[in-house]
Amino acid sequence: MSLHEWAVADAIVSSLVNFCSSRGASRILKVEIVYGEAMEYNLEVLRDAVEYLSKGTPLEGAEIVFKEEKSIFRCNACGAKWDIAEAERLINRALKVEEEGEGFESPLHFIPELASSLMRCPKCGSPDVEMVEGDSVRVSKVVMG
Amino acid sequence: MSEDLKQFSILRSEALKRIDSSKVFLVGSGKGGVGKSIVSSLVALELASRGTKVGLLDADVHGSSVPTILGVNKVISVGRMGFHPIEFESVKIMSLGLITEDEVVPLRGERKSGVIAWLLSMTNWGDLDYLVVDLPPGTGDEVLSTLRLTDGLVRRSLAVSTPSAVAIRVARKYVSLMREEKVDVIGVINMAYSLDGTSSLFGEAEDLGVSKVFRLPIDPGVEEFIRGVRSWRDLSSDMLKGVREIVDELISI
Repeated sequence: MSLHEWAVADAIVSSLVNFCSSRGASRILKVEIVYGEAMEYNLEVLRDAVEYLSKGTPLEGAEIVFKEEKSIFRCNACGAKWDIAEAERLINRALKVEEEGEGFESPLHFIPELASSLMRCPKCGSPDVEMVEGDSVRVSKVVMG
Repeated sequence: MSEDLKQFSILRSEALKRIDSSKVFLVGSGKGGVGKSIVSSLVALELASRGTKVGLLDADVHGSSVPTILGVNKVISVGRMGFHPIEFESVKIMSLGLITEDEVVPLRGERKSGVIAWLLSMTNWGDLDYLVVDLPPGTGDEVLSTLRLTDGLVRRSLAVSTPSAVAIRVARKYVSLMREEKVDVIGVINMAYSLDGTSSLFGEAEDLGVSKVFRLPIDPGVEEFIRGVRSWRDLSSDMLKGVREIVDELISI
């Protein structure tokens, strides 16, 4: 069972409830949640958590669509780009976070911004690398009633 | 109508929910190396020793020092409500340094904001009375992001400087930013005088531009505390008195 997804789901639901209230809307009809593949969310857990935490809020009963985005990494020194498979091969740092009952996980699961601490450019070796696509969780669409 | 929500907004909602009962003390400076992290740590420890519930967020992404100062090096673990902060003398500590340890963290502006947002919003702080935030020097991304993430909460700031004219002049810029953000600032002149009272390292401090200023001494015991050979409770009476006065002032709001 992935635990961190619950905290992320809590953040998504809180922000949507606040957003709905700030716009004076009474309910949310549809949301589209996008997250990077490097974050390695367990979609089933994330979906269950969002639905569970939505109960009794304007989000309850809304159509919730999840989209996983490809993660792309880029070197700012030489311009090289690579995908998640290459990134996993490149990870040469032992940065670890322990998820209860799950063992150790990559920090990218929790803080995707840390890509640059975990790998160097496969082409030129520069540490000035970053994830430029599929690097966050966001709500790409909110339809309110 | 159809709109969208960026990651920072999502995490900000969660951060505000998690620390909504907490008063926030932002510890900043103009220059680095003036003792900001020491002041943050001692203020947090003093608050906790008075029986209050205290969190200490190390928001210095590149120069994380809190784990070193407090001698904590445990692995961060995660549960259903996010990161479990590391406890030291009842202070709940969260720092990127606990994850990255000695690794270099090359990050550009927006990424730094993301790191601060994840650390603040995904930490299982529990009910806090006070959250002390150890900011990096200056008025950059981490400082601005922390201001946005704590908007609406009761906030005060400590502007830390040495008596050096260089440090004071740059610290005034931090003070100006806090004023524009409607955050009340009190000043701390660290390393202001020697314990035997015979000398001042830099001469008299220039005006920091705040109404209240506290002075802390040059106390060699601080380095022994950092090296783990002395408890913070055994620092000089001048140092402890200074920290108590700072805390008295902070909690007077």
